[in-house]
Amino acid sequence: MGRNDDEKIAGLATLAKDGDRPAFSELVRLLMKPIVALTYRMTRDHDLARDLAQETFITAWEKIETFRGDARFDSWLYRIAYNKTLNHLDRVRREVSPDTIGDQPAVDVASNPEANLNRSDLQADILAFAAKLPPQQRIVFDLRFYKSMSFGEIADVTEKAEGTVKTHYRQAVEKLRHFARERGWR
Amino acid sequence: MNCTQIQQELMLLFGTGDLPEEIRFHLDSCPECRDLATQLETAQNRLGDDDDFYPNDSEVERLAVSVDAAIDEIESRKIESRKIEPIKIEPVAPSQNLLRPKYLAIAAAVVLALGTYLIGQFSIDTTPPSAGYEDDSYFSTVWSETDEEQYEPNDRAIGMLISDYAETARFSGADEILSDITVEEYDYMMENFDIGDLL
Repeated sequence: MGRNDDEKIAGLATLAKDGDRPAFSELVRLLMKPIVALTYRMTRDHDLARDLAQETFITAWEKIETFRGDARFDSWLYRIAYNKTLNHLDRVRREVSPDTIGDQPAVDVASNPEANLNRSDLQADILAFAAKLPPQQRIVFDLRFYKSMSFGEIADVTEKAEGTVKTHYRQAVEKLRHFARERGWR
Repeated sequence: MNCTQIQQELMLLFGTGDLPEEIRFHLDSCPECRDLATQLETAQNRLGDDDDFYPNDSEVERLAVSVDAAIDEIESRKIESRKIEPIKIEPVAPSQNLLRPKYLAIAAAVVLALGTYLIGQFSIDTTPPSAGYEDDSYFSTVWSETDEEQYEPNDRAIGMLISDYAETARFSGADEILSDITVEEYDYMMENFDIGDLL
């Protein structure tokens, strides 16, 4: 997202905070893509990712008065999406045997026809790698690598200490290195 | 920085673009760290970008419409809940509670006093004594069969007593009811009359 987009989002967020529905609708359309991308990489489930993204925006509207005007609106949305996704993953983890979590295949990618059509080898590799990471490392890696957020911003979103965030990121990159070697990435 | 520090830094800088000059200088002279940097660069190229995972525009619109609809519903529910405000029943403050025992006692006293007053008004003849009496005092002197002098209350005495009782009970306390009779009158009444029967 460019500087102009950032300014536009900030302006719309200010209006939305004052209850401006059209401004919020525009924010939904502007930020739906990065939110879906985040929830998809986190869950590896096409439909679930979209459901979580929608719930993220609905919650954002309900809690819009708690948004601090001086913060980045997209970071605030990432936090909502992250919490929703993490809650969902925790629920699933409680329901599924812990031993099988890390090795779960990207079920939806294989079973969802729409996802299948859009799926690339690249996506499959990334989703497979994401499956190797615990959720905390996964979100840190995602926000850093794909959203280009600073460690300070990630610490804010995840409500973790910056040092903890850096540790998560280093561990994720180390796992990526091993994963790449296993897969024979060149 | 030594190799360990460089490698830690390479991990943290993964995905952020250009490397600082100090690290690049180190990589030129360190095969081990250079190998790590190459591996990371390969992985980075393979990971693609955020927009590789973006839904297409029509799907975004579909999702956004659903969000709009859900928010519309939330807002309409808010409006509805404002329209049908539940009736708030304010609890009666203890001092305003008319059924408190204190008020019941007062009400009972008022009814009793009023009833007594009405009995005094309609049941008792309070007309002045007839001409047959020797004086207009409350007690008449009579002579008994043994010629002993005795006191006997006349009708007026009884009527005034009842009337006095009723008036005093209406406006004051019961302790003032008989305050205006003399000791002799009181003793006589206690000896010869039953107040309950009189009332």
